[in-house]
Amino acid sequence: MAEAQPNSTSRTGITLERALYAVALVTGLAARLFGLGAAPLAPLEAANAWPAWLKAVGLSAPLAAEPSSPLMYSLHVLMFWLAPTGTSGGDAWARLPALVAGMALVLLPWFLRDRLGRGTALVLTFLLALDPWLVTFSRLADGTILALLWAMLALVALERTRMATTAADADGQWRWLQVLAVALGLLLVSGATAWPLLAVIALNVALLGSPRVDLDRLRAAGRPPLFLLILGGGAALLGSTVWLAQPGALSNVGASLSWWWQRPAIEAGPGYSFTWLWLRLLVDQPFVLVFGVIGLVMLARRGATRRDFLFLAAWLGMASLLLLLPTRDPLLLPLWAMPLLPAAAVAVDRWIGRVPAGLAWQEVGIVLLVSVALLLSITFWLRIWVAAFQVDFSALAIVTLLLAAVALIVVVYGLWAGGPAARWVLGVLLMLVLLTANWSAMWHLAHEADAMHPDGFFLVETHPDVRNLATELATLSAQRTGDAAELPVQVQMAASADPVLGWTLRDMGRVAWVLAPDPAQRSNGRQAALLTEDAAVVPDSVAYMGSVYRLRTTWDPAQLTARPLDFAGVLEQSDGRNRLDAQANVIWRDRGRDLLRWMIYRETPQLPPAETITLWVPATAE
Amino acid sequence: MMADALGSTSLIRQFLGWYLVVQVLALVALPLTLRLLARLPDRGYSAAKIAGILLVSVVLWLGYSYGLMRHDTGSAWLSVAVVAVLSAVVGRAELAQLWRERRLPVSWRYVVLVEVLFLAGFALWALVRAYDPAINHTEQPMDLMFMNSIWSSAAFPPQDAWLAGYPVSYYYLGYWLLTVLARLAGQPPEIAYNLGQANWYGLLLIGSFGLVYNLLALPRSSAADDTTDSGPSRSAALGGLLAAGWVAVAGNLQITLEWLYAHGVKMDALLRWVDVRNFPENAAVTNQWFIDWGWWWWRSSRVLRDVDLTGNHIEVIDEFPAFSYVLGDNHPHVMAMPVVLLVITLALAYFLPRRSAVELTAPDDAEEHPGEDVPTRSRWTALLPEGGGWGALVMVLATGALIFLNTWDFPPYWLLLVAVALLVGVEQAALRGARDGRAWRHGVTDAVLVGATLVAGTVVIYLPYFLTAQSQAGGLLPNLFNPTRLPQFLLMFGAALPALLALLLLVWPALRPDWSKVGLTLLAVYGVPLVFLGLITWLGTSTGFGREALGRVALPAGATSHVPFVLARWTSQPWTFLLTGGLLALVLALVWQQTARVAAGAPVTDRGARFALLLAGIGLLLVFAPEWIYLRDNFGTRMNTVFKFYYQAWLLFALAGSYAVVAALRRVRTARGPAAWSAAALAGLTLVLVTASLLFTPAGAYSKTNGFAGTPTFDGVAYVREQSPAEYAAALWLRTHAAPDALVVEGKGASYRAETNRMSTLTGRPTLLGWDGHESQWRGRAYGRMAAGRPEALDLIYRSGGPLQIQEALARWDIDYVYVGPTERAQYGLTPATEARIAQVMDLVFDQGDVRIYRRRGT
Repeated sequence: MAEAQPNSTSRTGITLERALYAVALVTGLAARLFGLGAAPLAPLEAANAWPAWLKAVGLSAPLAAEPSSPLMYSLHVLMFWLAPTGTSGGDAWARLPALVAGMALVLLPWFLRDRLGRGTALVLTFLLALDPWLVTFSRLADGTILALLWAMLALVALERTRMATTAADADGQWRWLQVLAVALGLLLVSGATAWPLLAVIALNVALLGSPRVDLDRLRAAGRPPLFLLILGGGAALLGSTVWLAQPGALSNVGASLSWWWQRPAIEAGPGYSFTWLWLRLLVDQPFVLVFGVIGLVMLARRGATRRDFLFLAAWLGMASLLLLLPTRDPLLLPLWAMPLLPAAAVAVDRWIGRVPAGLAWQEVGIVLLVSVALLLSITFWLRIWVAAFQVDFSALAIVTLLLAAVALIVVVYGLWAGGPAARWVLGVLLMLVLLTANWSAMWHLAHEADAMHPDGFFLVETHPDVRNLATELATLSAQRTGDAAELPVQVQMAASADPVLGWTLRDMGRVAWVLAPDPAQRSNGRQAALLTEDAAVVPDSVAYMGSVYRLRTTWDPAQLTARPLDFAGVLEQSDGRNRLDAQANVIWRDRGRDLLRWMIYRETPQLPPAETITLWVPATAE
Repeated sequence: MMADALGSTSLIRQFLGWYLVVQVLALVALPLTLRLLARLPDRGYSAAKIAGILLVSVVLWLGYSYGLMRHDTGSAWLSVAVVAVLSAVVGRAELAQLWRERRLPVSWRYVVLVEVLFLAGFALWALVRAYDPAINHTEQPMDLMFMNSIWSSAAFPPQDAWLAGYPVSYYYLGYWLLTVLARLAGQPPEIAYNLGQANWYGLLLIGSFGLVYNLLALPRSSAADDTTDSGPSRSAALGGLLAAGWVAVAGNLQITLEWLYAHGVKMDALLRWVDVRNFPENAAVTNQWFIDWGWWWWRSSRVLRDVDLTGNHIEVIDEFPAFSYVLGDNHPHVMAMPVVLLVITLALAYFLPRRSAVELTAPDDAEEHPGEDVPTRSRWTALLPEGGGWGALVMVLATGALIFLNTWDFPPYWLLLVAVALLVGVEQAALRGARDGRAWRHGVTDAVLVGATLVAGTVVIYLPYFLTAQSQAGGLLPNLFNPTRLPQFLLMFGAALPALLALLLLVWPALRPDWSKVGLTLLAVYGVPLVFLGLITWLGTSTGFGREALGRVALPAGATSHVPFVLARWTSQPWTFLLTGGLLALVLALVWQQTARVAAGAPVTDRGARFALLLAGIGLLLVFAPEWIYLRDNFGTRMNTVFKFYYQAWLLFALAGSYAVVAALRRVRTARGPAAWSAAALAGLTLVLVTASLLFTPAGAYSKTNGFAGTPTFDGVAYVREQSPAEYAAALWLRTHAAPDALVVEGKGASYRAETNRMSTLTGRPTLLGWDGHESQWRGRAYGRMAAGRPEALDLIYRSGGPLQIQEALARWDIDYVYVGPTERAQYGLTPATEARIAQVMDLVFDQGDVRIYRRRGT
């Protein structure tokens, strides 16, 4: 994507560039590692982790969910098998493979420095390290980040194989061919997201050309192409069969394609709305939206990078199409962001590198400092504005004035230092603002989302209350049987075993799952503990005591815009002069305020509704 | 899914979705067929569709059988990807050529012809199915049950929904093919049933077309064996169209009698002579072009009739493809046909000189080993079909699939490939310098090797099927009393006989077998059966075992011996035996003569005619065999043997006959003489008869669809929703709520009654006892043991048991649900009081109208 630059791999030792890469890695690691186990596993994660845990400890459950990622399943089985003795591995432990994959993904631009340009590669590394969606998926025990890693590695390997054009590059090309084979093999078994990513790789080959590999030369050098097939096939086989321990798990590969075909959103009803989509793009990726598009335009305008533009645009087009279909879901979001990230990196690199001649840095510093100070003060007034139940025109006016002041400063600076300098400063300022918004979204999404600050990234989230359920069951068990895991528990399920519940109760040694369309009619005997999904259904024995726990919440920010506007009552009480104000207040109260509060602070007027589960225990121990 | 299918989903969308899937599969398999069938004039283009469907389905089935894949949409598409990769690897040279030249190695006119023919067949038959969609008569519910059983069995083996606890024991590959296409196209089984049938009709048309096109487009001299494409030959294309029409549209000659009678033509003497059951007693003069609104077309499948010694009618089935389609079932013999055509196409390609063989005949090779055995590796290479090991694998896979599709079809096509291997082996040995006896030995060795490889390869590839299959076959029985009456045979194959004679006339002048060969083949063909029948008659009257066996055949009052009846039957109606045996002997003599000439070093000429002769020979063998021998099954008659053998004979006669008609008409333009003119006259007669029989399908379809009246839909169970909405809702509930392997008890089923076993048929959830007559056919003697105790359990649950006994039965049979519908109420006389016993020990989970579903507690 950039002009050829000196081969950067020839340098050794610590350089500024390497130090910056290290900073990016440490930052990315911190963003991913911090509070990794803070939230209980989401339903999507539990659907992967629970079957793997059952396999690792040699148990089974009726109608347990199928893992959506064969590779993550294999990794999880290994992880749970290796878990420290006496523990079954916590939520953070289950997320560790995703975290490692996410960090590996951050490293990939390093291998494309010659292709992208060193500056662009470095910027891209920072963007990957702190991208809200990538950080989120790196903290999610699901196969999405694995699929992304292998697909991006395959693209890197393809590029490196294409870059090897001379006989001297043969060794390197062979190495990258092997990487390509392994990456493709593992991609195939990474889960549902792998399937559209395969189309991305096909697009890459179609638009940028297939690598020129001289098969005869390879054979002559004792490097049979068949070896690559075996390597890729072997990697896929190992990764999907729990390292050959469970050959039947290979069927999960086909199942993941089925899963992709009939994604849960289709069966669960309306799924993710279009409003949810644009809110996500606006709230999570303002920087990528603006600078990604600018970067694409930059790539399109140069003949040397037009094919890169075509590839990224086609990729973006395909991802946009998938997102526009009614079957959209969050797993598609990183697929959409990925082509914009390198484009944004190109834009940033070129903008920063395009410093106008004779720029006075002190002046730039002052302009940026004052502007940032003004922008910071805007956040204060924004807070006041969105806290009010009626439209606070004075706060709005102040916010507008402050924005105008920033614009005025830039204009004045332009008059003082010239147009190019002002445009450059404005670009940097915009970059800072949008990057801050992006990284703030990352923080919200990965670290602050909870029942009080719902993010709505996934419609259904696990409520932290399930941990209380596990703790109290363990306490009850210890009190009644002398062992924290020995209390018999019967879970009455409606249709299939809930993986969140299965994962939560994994430390209880005696869990029985039964179908329960009408538990009231069921003769349960004297179960030591009984879990029912419907709190209204009381076991037939009066000797049971019940306790309700919240299991999962379902919330979508689109709900904030769904409430109908109620003008009737307000307009009756207003005279003609105040009618406009009254209408504005209704719109503000019923729409604008709540939406803005959520977009900026992830605050909602009320807590999301939660599904509950009831724990019934006999009043006295038997 | 079912609700969606019954909703407002557009027919066109469903049709196009399916069509698109078939085209994708064809595209995926195209590089492979271009490679393996490279020597054919059409390069295998017409075979790509069925090859793609078969390969993808078998790959999925193998993955499913070994637990590496599930029967779901994703795995189905993964199988498509696997076949695409294999096809690209095998046909890499063809792909590279396609890439370079940006055009197919077949003329675009041929491509358009094949595609138009396929689309027309598919679309027209889809229209017929849309107006006759109900899966509610004859054995249609059985087909749907198999499809739903497979559909709901995510893991191998597919469960038998009519015998809980046991896997399907039937040749179910045809149903598997349909469900795989259904997965890919996103259609449920009840829609796949109808769309799949229309799809198969299109495949039958292009398969027949392509094969005869290839036969006719082959060069007639050995010098031009290296076929080059110069656009489709018009006469070859016309021959292909004739074959397509003959195989898939034409009926037997009964249709002409039906039509004449319906239009008031008096022909009493003729009708008495042919003596077709219920005709004209159940026919009427209607003066309608489509004959009648009733099932008049059914009589065409029963023109043969056997009569026992006491004068009672014995059912004999003589179906042909067009009848099967008008009837609208998806039985194995229907599903197998496109694959049969693929196997014949592979056999034809194998019959042509291959690259490996050409390499072996290079001058230095021949000079180096004049008249000697060439090294083993070369022999093996020469034995392999085009495409080497891959070609052999596909050949074994396709031929072996016939056992799994319709077991009866395996022996004739195995024999075809073995015969081809013999001829090719002799030819290659002669090319290498071996002569006469040595060349024959090479040929026989090759034939044995190919035959053994086909059997062994089939066992290996389809091992999971063999491990779960059971059979009703119980050996061979002699046909002592029912040689086919000639008029009835002529009614069935009357259109083919002149064409077969024309073929003999075409080949005879070039080969002219000496009379010793003719005499020997006649002696063998007539002698072996007569000796066999004589021996059996003697054993039946002279040994205790024989008398016991023969004693099961009832004699008329007053008669004491079977022998006079054997003699009387065979002396009064030997003509079919003599006619088919004579023709078979002549074909064998010609093939013998041809092989002997090749063994003596003569070049092979006119391969198309030679191959057509082989097809005719096998067809004649298939109609000759049931004259004196048949397979012992539960019915104890030759009904199934005639049915299955005649069905294939129809195809083989139509293919060979179409070739003969066009070849004879071509010949008359270049050659003169009585043989050429006679052949042309016979070809003309064939054309007249076949053209007259083409009325069968349009008239039959018009009649069966009630003149295309009603609301079109592809949903085969829409009638259940209309006639019994509560049962339909119950089936929906079970599909949604019951585990795929949940045991749902229903009343005992009754064969051919669609209103019984509705839940198992519509959902694939296994029940205790389905159509037990059919189960018994599929499983043979083992069925008694398998079904033991089940009728009693049903009686106990629905009629006589107390709550505790019901509870025990539920536990004993691991029953999950008990279904109570109108059939159960009528069958077991259920009253509210007796039903209350069930309610005492089970949870009521579905209740609508007079339909209830109870679930066992604690599951």
